[in-house]
Order: sequence, then structure tokens, then C-alpha cells
Amino acid sequence: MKKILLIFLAVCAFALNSVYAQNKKIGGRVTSSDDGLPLPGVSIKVSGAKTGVQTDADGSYTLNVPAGSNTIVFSFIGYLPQTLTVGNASTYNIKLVSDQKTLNDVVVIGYGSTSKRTSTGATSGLKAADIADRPVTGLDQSLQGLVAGVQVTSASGTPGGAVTVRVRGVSTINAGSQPLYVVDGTPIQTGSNSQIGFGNGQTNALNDINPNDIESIDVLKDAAAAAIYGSRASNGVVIVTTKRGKTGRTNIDLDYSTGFQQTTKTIDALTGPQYVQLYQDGVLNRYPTLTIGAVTYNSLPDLITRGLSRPLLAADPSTYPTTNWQDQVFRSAPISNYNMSINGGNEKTRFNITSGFFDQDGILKGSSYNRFNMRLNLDHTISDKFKVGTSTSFNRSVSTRINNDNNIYGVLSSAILLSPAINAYNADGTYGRDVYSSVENPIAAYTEPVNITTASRLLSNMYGEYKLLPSLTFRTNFAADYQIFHERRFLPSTLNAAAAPTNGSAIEAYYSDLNLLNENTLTFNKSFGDHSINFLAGQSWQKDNNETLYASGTNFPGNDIERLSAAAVKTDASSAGSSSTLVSFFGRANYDYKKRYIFSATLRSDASSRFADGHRYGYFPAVSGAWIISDESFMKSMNWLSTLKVRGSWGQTGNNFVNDFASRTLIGAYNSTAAQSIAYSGVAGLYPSQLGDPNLTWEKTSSTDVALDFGFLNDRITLSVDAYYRKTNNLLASLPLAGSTGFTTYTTNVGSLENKGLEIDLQTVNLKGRNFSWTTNFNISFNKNKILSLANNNTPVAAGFGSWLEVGQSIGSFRGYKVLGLFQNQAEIDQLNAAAKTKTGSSTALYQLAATAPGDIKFEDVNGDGVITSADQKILGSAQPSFTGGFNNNFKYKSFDLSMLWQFSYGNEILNYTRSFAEGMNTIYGQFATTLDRWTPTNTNTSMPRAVLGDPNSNNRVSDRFIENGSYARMKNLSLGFSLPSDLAAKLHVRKLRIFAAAQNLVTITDYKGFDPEVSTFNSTPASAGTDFLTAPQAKTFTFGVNVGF
Amino acid sequence: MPALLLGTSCKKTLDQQPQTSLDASTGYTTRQGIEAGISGVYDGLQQTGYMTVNFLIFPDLYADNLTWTGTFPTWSQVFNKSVLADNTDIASIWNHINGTINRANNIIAAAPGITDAAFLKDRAIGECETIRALAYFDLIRMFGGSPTGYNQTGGLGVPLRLKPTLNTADANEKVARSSEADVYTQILKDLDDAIVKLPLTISAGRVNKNVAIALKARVQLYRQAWADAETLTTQVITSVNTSNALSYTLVSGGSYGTIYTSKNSSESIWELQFGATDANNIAFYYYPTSLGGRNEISSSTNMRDAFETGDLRKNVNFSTTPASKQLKYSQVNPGVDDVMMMRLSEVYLTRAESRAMLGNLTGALADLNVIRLRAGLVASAAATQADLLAAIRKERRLELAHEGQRFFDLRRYNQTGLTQTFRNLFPIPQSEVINSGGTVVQNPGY
Repeated sequence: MKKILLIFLAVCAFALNSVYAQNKKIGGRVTSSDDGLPLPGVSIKVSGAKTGVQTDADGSYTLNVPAGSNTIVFSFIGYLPQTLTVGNASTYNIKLVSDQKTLNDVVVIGYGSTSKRTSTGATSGLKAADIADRPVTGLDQSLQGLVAGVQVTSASGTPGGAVTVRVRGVSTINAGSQPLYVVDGTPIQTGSNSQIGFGNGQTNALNDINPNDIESIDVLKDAAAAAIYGSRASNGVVIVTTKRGKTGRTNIDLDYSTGFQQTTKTIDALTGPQYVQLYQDGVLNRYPTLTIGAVTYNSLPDLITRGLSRPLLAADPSTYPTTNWQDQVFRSAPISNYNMSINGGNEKTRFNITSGFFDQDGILKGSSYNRFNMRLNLDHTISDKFKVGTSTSFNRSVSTRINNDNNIYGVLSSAILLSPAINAYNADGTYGRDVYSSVENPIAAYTEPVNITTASRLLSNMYGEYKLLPSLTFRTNFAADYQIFHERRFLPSTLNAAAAPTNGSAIEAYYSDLNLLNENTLTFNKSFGDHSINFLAGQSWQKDNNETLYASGTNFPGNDIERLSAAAVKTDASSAGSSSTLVSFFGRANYDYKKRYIFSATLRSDASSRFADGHRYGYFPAVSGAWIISDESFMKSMNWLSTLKVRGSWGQTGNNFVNDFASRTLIGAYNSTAAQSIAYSGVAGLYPSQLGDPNLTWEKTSSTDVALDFGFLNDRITLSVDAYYRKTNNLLASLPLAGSTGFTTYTTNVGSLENKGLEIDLQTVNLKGRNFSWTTNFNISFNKNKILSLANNNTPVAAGFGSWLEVGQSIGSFRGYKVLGLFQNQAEIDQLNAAAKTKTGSSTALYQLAATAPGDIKFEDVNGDGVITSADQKILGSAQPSFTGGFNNNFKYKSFDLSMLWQFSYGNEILNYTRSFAEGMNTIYGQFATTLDRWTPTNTNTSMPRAVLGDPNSNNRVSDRFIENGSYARMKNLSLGFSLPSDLAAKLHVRKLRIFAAAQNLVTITDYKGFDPEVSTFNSTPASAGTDFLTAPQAKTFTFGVNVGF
Repeated sequence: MPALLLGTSCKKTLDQQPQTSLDASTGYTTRQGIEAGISGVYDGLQQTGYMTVNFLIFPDLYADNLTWTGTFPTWSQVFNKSVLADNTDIASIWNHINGTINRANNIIAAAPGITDAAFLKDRAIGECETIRALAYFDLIRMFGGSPTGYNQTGGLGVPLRLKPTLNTADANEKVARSSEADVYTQILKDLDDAIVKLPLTISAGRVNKNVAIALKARVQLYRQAWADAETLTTQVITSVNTSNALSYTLVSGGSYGTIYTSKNSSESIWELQFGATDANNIAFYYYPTSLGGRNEISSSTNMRDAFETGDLRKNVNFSTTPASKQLKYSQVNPGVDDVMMMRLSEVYLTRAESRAMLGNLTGALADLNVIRLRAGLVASAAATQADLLAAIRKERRLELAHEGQRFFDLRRYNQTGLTQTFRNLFPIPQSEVINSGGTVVQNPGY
């Protein structure tokens, strides 16, 4: 900062002096010392001047040097600046040396920036080049594998779907768990705005930022870096900076890529005959003999007459057809991305205008996402003291969505759960359906429903910066984030009647959100000899207002009019609104001595409307320091060690991501969870809708971070090792209540948990030759999460399908029964039942259940009381990985570039709940081919239980049968590019031309039996992480593209 | 502008108000608020865990009237008589019934404070006391009593909470299960008070004096208080012949189906009202896919075979179109079928059973035959008490099928046929046991 100020002052002085001076003209060519290739876009300025020029496509420049000046500075991103003293010559060819000191990179932090070298906090950054050309929808996906300490999981492969980002583990149970995203200084709204149920298919407001617009992403991980964002920072802060205009010639860049996507996996299912055989086995196992009155039934036709079986499944199995439904729903889907940017400006005004269009069809038929966006980033210098500017973007996305996940009318779910023994279409062309099942024909499920979601968003900020004194700057920032989110669904009469009423039904939902922000800061910078100080004081005011409108109706005049005006019966009409405010003050003081001993302290005070008067104010302090040991004289002899820095921090951050009125006890007029009116028989209704804790307040995380940064061989190799301990107190938790109180939960502060971990980030320049270069980035993060205390005297809490919160365990633990094996004969069961009677003293006691038979699962009697009860469940695993990380390699050979990114997660389990249905063998649901190995009296050496209708032994209860190893390593990205040498490019009158081919998720190494180990059905709920229930897999994507610059 | 806001108006900025809810401190302080709150109590009965799905269907599914033909593991457990304590649909029954009790408690506590002259205070309290009594009775029927039936020595009850849960302190107060007898005492106290307070002038959509009397008769039947049950049922039946506004008559047998297809028939004493904007999913769970349902359950052939030839009720309870379903709930979308809370025919059958138990065989036979003749059957000639009881019980099964009574009646007769007798009581939801910190004790055996 100090440097910038000095330059600025010099500029002012120069501007006054040089107005009437004489000029001299010089010229030449700038090349890279690495490969001798010309460097276009190098900024060339007379030292101290405001004006400057840039090199053109072949690296050439001409510059007018005012009389009296003779020092010229050449600077270019990634290269060390070079100073030229102008003599009598008029031609100067310059070779720029590339800058390997990544530690000098700029790090954007809250309300300012610093250099990586002098930073005292734990931050990780990505630059535009790191995420370029990857066909990702949102910036959250692009973080995956590249940032130590950040675990990114796409909830599903749904286009535009939700992504889970965890910075240094999970630090909350029920409150929001995503990091705070700050785009160009404005904290933005993220998450899903969807009001219509799609199983768990959610939308992701973060997709409203075009990744191509991003200059850099900085992740603030420890309290030293994040505490300046106070009450919203405990999940980490992701600071996104978009590309801004640069002085010089106007550059036009066009990027285009296109390709296709395929599913990473399909799962073998039974054929029709195999399925019917299994079903018939199941029926006869359930009713080996059935006696009603005087008649005994024991054959399929008999059972059918009793209504105990489906007549359609009674014939010889071999007579049934086979439809592979997965083949019907997966497709090779196109994906395209178009981007244009126009960047340039002069000393007064700089601009960056971008526009993009992203178009993706999902690998599941019926799903698509497209996004159009445009942006203007403008900076204008009014006077030496006064600067103004804006970042303004408009975005509109349209997605056609399909039911997903936990929904029997979904596309993938019906493809798994519908019987294979029926034809895709009937002879008359109508959809083939199982009349005894409410599962929709998957083809109908993706063809017939209309589900259109449009998201429009205007995100704009305006700033003004005024230099009150040479060392004191005032900055104000106004921002508006306005979203209109519209969903509409029409279910035509052509759907399975269970999915849509006979005459069609429709829902329309609007959501709008206006978030207004004003922030004002004063920054003071001063150096006295070896001492530098920097003070920041600021104040922020933020208000969020949202409105919802929801209406539904049925009975349409045919299927052609899809809007509610045509619905004869209106079944729902409701509207709601909510608001919240946050008023804050914050400050930061930095001090360094000789840029070697660095200290920093921050404090933020937040007041949130979400808490009751008296509990609104929270204070979030942080202190940190760093010592650059390598700058000490006693280290000078160790030439190989170019940087050695030790840093440490302590601080507190908070979390206020709870409902706007969570602290209030409320009487409501509408049950939003059941989407039900409280009115009765036409009379308005009210009910006690929420129990509130008036003492509700912030969740607070205290973090300690200790780290060492190494740079070897002139920082050609850099290594950062961070160790941290984070303890979260006053957890914002939905405290489960005994239902006899009339409520089942209320939000309160209770319990604590900890995350401790180690992050290693290694960056090396392995080879740096004239023709060949190779760089590597390896990062690995170990995190251990532990719940330290819970509400109700540490009463455990169940979540999701089999997730469990218990003191001493990690969030995301799974709990259920332990499988001991299969019962092989009746004697084994009788023996256990006899023992159960002895142990319990009850003559009716049974080890398991009354209908338990050979081929059923024998569960472990954990407490040894002789009977299997709910108390016999235990912890079976955890969704928390032992470590995650990434391994990225970039190669360059002459004009070719190759990069390969691997990303991995190890030691986590997944609850594959899909299998409890698709290997359930208890209903008419379609089944995976693994059920061919089911237990029968002749196939006893197996772990797959017998088929039995209705599952009277509850073989499908949550048990370790469905808990699987979720570790995986995945080649996230592989790309190969070729850049036209710039002399050739110049002949074509282009500044640059590059073509590339890329593949995402090309290889996945895992033992996981489900579709995809990168899965999170309940992505928004950390407590039930790592569950897979009929969730769409990730796509394997192949793209080809071109970058052209003029 | 914001800088200006920071001074005096900082607090104002931070005071945001909800837009779709009222603060609990003001919600029930006006006549309008309380009246809406009473709607909220009826709405409690309409929750899926209570009278619209689980509590309505499970008593027939756990017995011999329904067959499970669907896909929900939680329902399969009920049909298989192997319910686990963590069954989430059982938990929703418990939570929704208790939630209804809390809604009623709020009104009963707040109503005395309303001074508005237009407020019908007695009626308000009477309605809520009746529903609270019903709710506790339903909890006992499902989760309480003894493996051998109801009102036995040592019968288990449920936690009694008669004050509204207004704050976290109330919510954290631990209340253990009362005895079955104590819960009956409270139920009868509420009903007696309601009978005094309630008028005879409300339509079948809401609780009135006859509803409270008929409900008390049902409770006394479970308590084997035959004489009282006989007296109470007679009061309701007699009111048929008095010339007040509530003149109940059985619908003719030929129009039996219209009891369910047209709202508030002449024999409907209390009927939970549904409409397009306040619909239920009952028919949805019954009906086949082709008619827009989920095909989760079907009427059992065992019940079909129990109908005598010519029974006019047979097709309503075991329909031919749609096959193996019923016609009591036939509106899939929107599900506007009302739910029968109390019908005149039940009152006749309750009196018949009480009279048979009291030895008044003639009176019992007369009541039984009112129901049989209406169903298009010949009059019963049962002559002994045992024969008569068997006939009444059979008639009760067929008359009240699909109305959430069957398993509880079997428990009364101690004829559930479950070999593991502890399963005559449903498990207290695991969530309740855990979240009460063990204060609410699980039923033995689970």
C-alpha cells in the first residue's frame, strides 16, 4: 500500500511538472527471457508518469518520452518489472524475466489487499488462469481440488445444481454452513431459492457469477483473515474479484468451447425375466402357506386371488420383456460456452465489458441449464484525489429441471425403481406403465412435465474513493443485489395419474430478494523509517428484503395452456415476506518493522436483527503476527532457503445464518413445511408455529492457526504448512424436543464442536526451460471433526436417513444396526429365540422379529440383552474424510500446454440408501443385478439376503450393509492446448490464438458401488452429509475450444 | 444516508417484524385471534400424522381390514406387525396429536382473558376441551393401555400436559407418563366440562354438545363403563327425535355411499371438513396409479369375505371399481373427502354393545338391527349374549371400516391375534424417549 501511495504522489508531482515539456520517441520489442517469444500487452511507462503504452501482438512498442525523463518501467503480470534508462538510442529491445516469487502475489483480503509475503493470515488464492477453460457452471466448482483446506462436493450431477463448500471442516450443525461469498466487496446471497419440490434438486444462486469474469478468488480460512467479516465468517470467506479494465490498447477476447457430457457410470439392473423371478420368490417367501378359514393358499394364482400379489407378475418369468431404463434416461449431452470481453482504457477511464452465454444439457434427459450474462466494470479517475467506479452485472439463467433424488416421479429414480419387465411404450404408442406401481415411466418423467426456472439477477456496486490526505483515503461503496426467481411447473394429464391429476396441475412461484449495502471505510497508511502502519476503520449497513408468491391449481382445459389462469380449481395461493438487517463497525491495524516483523489486529462488531434486543451485538476480534526469518542477517548464508516465514493467529468469527425470526415465539397463519393452510372450513386459522429462544445469539468459533511458509531456490519451490484448531461454541442448533410438548424443535445455542487439522500446500516449478516448463501444485488437508457437547445433557440427535450426532463423534456419523451375517437355518433362529426368552424372562420374546426366516439378516445384539431393539444400533462410520486434496500439473512445451488436475478424498463413508430400495427385494421396485446373488436354500454363501415381499425382518433397516467406503481419486480436469506462435498470430492479425481440448472427470478410482462417490443428497445439511439416495451422478465432459484475442 | 441511520434509528433498523406470523404475546389476545386459534385446533386434527393419513389408516392396516400393497417401509412395518421404535410415521402420529393438544391448551388458557362481549367463551373452551379429550384418548388407544386391553390394572398412559408450551422453559420441563387411569380422569373431566359449556347449535363441521356426549360414550365403552355408555348414547339418539336443530337420521341403505360423497349427511354428528385449498391425501394413498393414487394400501379380501350377501355397504368398503379399494375416500386430487369423526351408526353400535354387556339383550338386538336393516340385511336373531356380542362386533367392523377404529376395537375385545402381545401397544417413538431424556419411558418389549 505504501508503495502505491508513493507512486501516486510522484505521479501527481510529475503531472504538474511535465505539461509543457518536449518529447523524444523510442521503440523496440519486448520478449520473454524464458522462450524468446514476444510478449504482447506489456505495460510501459515513463517512471512517475500516469500515461503509458502497451506492446502490441508481436511485442513491439513505441513511446514518447518527455524531455527531462529518462527512466522507463516495463511491467507485465508474472514477470519482474524492468527499468530502462533511456540514452541516445531510439531502439531498445527488452527481455523480461519471469517472476517466480509467488509469495509476492497480491492477496485480496476483506476491505483491502496485501501481499502473500506480508500476510499474517491463512489464505489461498486462485487466478483466472487456474480456472480458465473449464466447463464449470459456477465458481464454487472451480475451487475443487485446487485449494488446501477447502472441500468441494457437487450435490449431484444436475446442471446448475447445488455445490457444498466446506472451509476447514464443518463448524455448525443446523445453521448455514456455506462460506460467505464477497464479490467485488459485496457479500452476496447464495443458496437455493427454489420453492417447488424436486426431490432434493436445488438451485444455486452462486451460478449467477460467470467464472470467466473472475480475475481471482481468495479464500480466507483462519480468523486473522476472516474475522473482519465477523458474524458471517465462521464458515470461511471466499473473496471474488472480477476482471477490471487496464490502461492501454483495447483488447478484444473471444472464447468458445463446445463438447459433450456422459454419465460417469451406469449400474447393472435385472432383466425383466430375472426381475419377475425375484418378485415371485419374494411373494412365496412371504406367504409360504396362508390359511384363511378352511382354505390354504400356497401358489401364486391363489395368492393373487387373495390380493396378496400382482396378477401381472404371475406368469412364467421368461415370457416377460426387458427394458433397460437407465439406457433410456442417460444421454450424451451437449455443452457450450461463449465468452467475449472488451478491455481497455486510458489514464482517466478503464473499462472491462464482458458478455457470456453458457448452455448445458444434463446427462439425464429433460434437464438443461443456460445462462446469459453481461458485465461492465468501470473505473474513472476524476482528479488526483477522487476515483469512482462500478461493477455491474446482469444475469439471467433458464433451467429446465427434472424431479430428482428422493422422488418416485423423478427421472433417475424412476429409471431405477420401475420394473424392467414392462415395455418402454405400449403397442398403441402410450407409455408403458406398471399399473400396480406409482413409479412413473422414466421416459414420461423427462418428457411430459414442464419445469422451467428462470433466475434474473442484477448485481451492482458503485464506489467512490477520495484521498483526504496523502496518507488517508475515504472509500464508500453502495451495492444492490436484486434477484427475481421464477419457477413454473405444469404437470399434464399425459403423466402417470399419480404424478398429475387427470386434468393437469400447475404451480407458479416467485421469489424476489433485494439486498442493499452501504459500506464506508477510512484507510490510513504511513511509514516512518523502518516502521509501517496501516489502519482501517469502517462501518457497514445491510438490509435484505425478500418476498415470495406461490399459487397452484388443477383442472386445466387440456394440456396446451400451462398457466394458472386456466386452472378451474385453485388449490393454493399464498404470499410472504421477510427481512433482516445487519449494522456493523470494524477496524484493522497493521504494523510492520522492516517488513520482517508483522503484526495485525482486527475487530468487528455486528448487530443483527435476527436476534432479540439485548442479544444482537457480537464482537469478533482477531490478532496475528508473522516473522520473516529468512530476512534476518543470520539467515543470509543459507542461499537455498529463499523464504522462511512463521505466522500465527487467533481470533473469533460468528455465524448468524438462521431464519430471520428464529428467536421469536410465533403464532402463524400458514404451515410452510406442510404447505398447508391453517384455516378450517373457511374460517381463518392460527396456530403456535414456532417456539423461540429469546436468548438466541451468535454461534462463535475461536480459531488458532500456526503456520510455516518456506521458499526454496529463489522461491521456485514453496511450501506452506498450516496447523489449526477451531472450536465452535454456542452452536446454533435445532434442539429436538419431546413431541409431547407440542413442538418438535426450537433453535437455540447449545453444544460445541471442534475441528483440528493440518494443511500442506506445495508448489514447485519443476522445470523452467526455454522450450519446456513444468509446474506442480499439490495440496492435502487433514481435518478431524468432533462434537464436544450437545443439548439435553448431550442427548444424541438423529438426522437424515441414518445420520447421527453424538458427543465424541464427528458430524456426519452414521448409526444403525450391525450385520452379523445371514441366518442359514431355522435352528439358528430358534436357538437365539430361546436364549431371548431366557435372558428377558418373557415367554414371547424373540431375538429379532416374528417372521425372521433363513436367508434374513442377523443383526448384532450390541447390548447383549438377547433381543434386537432400537438400542442395538451403533456408530458405523462417518461422512467426514480423513484427508482431501488435489494434485495439479501444468506442462508447457513450445506452443503446447497440458494440465492435469487430480482431486481426492479418503476415509469417508457413504450411506448408499439407494441400495435399500434397489436391493430391497421387498416391493415391486426395480432391482440392481447384484440381487441375483440373493440367498436361496441353494445359494447360501452370500451376503445378499433372501427376497421377501414386505421385508418382515426389516433387512432394509439402516445397517452397515449400506455403509460404503466413499474414498475416491478423480482426474477432475485434463486439458491440452496449442497456442499459435505470436509471430504467426501477428500475420493473421490476431493478438493470440489458442485451441484446446479438455476432459472433466475422465477417470474415477473408487470402490463405491453407487453411481458417483461425489454425492450429497442432503447437501445443505451438514448433519446428514454423505447420503446417496437416487442422486444423479456427475458428468464426464469432453470439450474443445478456441481462445482468440484481437 | 446510512450514516444518519446509525444514530437514533439504529435500533429501528434492527427491529424487523415477521409478516406472516404474529408474536406469541399478541396472537391470542383478541376475539379474532382466539377464533382463528380454534380453527387452528381443528387444523391440528387435519395433520397427516393425525386424522388425514397415519392415525386414520394404521388402525385398519395393523388389523385385518387393509393390505399393504405399496412401497413405504414404515407402512410395511405396520402391516407386518413388526413396527420398530424409530418408525417415522408413528413418530408423526405422536407429534401431531400432541401438537393438537398444545394448540387446544393455548386456547383453553387464553380464552378466559378475552373480554369482547361478542366472544362465545364457553363454546370456545368447550370445543377445545372436547378435542383435547379426543386427542388424549387417541394417544391412549394407540400407545397406552395394557397388552390385554384398556382400563386394566397397571395400564400405561401418556404424559399429560394441560398448559400451553409458551416458552423454552415450558418445553424443557420434563413430564413423565401418567397412568392410563389418570389420563381417563382428565379426558372425562374435559368432556364433562365441555358437555356443560357446548351448545347444540353448531353444524356437523364443528364440535357441539352431542359430539362431546357421543365421544364420552366411546370413552366409556373403552372403559367398560357400560351403564354410562348406554345413558350417553341414548341421550344422543334421543336428540334425533327432539325438535332441535340437530336431528340425526341414518341415511337410507340405498344411498349408503352418499354419506361419504356428499358432505355432512343426516347421520353425521361430526365430520372433519376438507376443501380444495385444504385437501388431504387419503384417497391418494388408497387409489391405484391409473386413478392418480399411490396404491399404498388395498382393502383386504378378509374384510370382503366378512360381508354377507346383499350387504349394501360392501362395495363402499371393498369396491369393484377401483378394484379392491373403497369409496369412502375417492377424491384423489384435490383430496376433498371429509373424515367421519362421529356418526350416528357408531352411537347405535356403542349402545348395542353396552346393552348386551348389561344383559339388556332385547335392547341390544334392536340397536344392532337398526344398523343391519339399513345395510339391506335381514334382522339378526342372535339370542345369547355371546352370539349378540359377536354379531355387534362384526357389524362394528364393517360399519366403521376405513374409519380408524378396527385395531382399537380388537384391543378392547383382546382379540388382536398378535403373538407378541407387547405389540398391542405401539412403540413410543424413539425420538420422544430420547428427547425427553428418558423421562418418557418406552413401552415394554420395544
